[in-house]
Amino acid sequence: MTTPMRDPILSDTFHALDLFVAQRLPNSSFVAMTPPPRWLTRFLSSAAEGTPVTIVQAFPFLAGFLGEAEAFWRDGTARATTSGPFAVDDAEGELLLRAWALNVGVNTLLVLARLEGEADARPMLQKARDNALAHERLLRQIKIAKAAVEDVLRLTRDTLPSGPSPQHSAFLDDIAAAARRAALALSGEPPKQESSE
Amino acid sequence: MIQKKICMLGSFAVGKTSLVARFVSSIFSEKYLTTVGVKIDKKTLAMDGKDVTLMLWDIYGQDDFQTVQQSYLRGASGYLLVIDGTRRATLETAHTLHKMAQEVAGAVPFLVVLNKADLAPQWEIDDKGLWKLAEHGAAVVRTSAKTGEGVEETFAKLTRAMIGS
Repeated sequence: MTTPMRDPILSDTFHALDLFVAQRLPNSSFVAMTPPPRWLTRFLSSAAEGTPVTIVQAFPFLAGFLGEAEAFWRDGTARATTSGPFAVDDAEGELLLRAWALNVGVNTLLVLARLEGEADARPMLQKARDNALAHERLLRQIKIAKAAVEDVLRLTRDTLPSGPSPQHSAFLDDIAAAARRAALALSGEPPKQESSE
Repeated sequence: MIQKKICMLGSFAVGKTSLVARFVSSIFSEKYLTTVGVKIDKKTLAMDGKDVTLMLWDIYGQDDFQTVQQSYLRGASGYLLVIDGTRRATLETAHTLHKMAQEVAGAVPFLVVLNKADLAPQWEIDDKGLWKLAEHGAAVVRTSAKTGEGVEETFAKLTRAMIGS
């Protein structure tokens, strides 16, 4: 069995970066190479440096990823592959995490990180999707407004040939012109110069 | 103990997370909080004398910003294709995800979930619009994560199909 590599400086560096690194052993078990970050201790009952860790029980999401990572580690040619983000609940709320499988020389490693600050895409995606929903709502409103404008135009066209008074005609012409402008604005087409006739 | 993986699939903001929250914790929030990545919840159901633990994979909504990774669907015993009845475009996303799920997970049981039944007067999707999915053998269920309508029944129906009882 391979002895887990030890490097106190690297271990402290990873700990300072709030990362957890475990070495994958040939029997597909994991041994902690760094002290567990505080966010991880709530999920792993035992993760002291040099001790075996049970990743999948703590994070069921990683079962699928580790299955794929096995092939990656066995192949050993690429440097890194990632799980994509996954969320877990803890007492402080929802944590967003990500795992990486690494080939570093002959060592096969698993890195777990908490995604915070710029690495946490949630605020940005929330805003983007709120905007997308608002845009969808606006499109629906435009559709309804366009239908109403079309109704006005149709009514105007139907009324004019029936012989309205000159006063009514002028009034209806104004409504029709306003409706055309509104329809044009809602369609998103550039405004055209109105005829002076 | 039987354990089954269920994937929640659909466009963003169709109510996947709300359906899981209603089913697992009997709660609902009006506030839309987008899902990033995957979140797994579990719930055990007693089904025909057997305990079935459902691992509910709440997968982020597919849109221009995030595309669902095929690896998330591997090993799924069933899936729910969630559609927001008030947004016709979510039906197209469901079609796309359905194809992907069939490629990756195979012919596992699934249900088309027409969510937001409490907003039925605002629905843009009618039964005709669901025909394309229905022709592939999909059963369509109506739910409201807000009121709880149809939620328990939907998960129970899928579970029954998955364990073949």
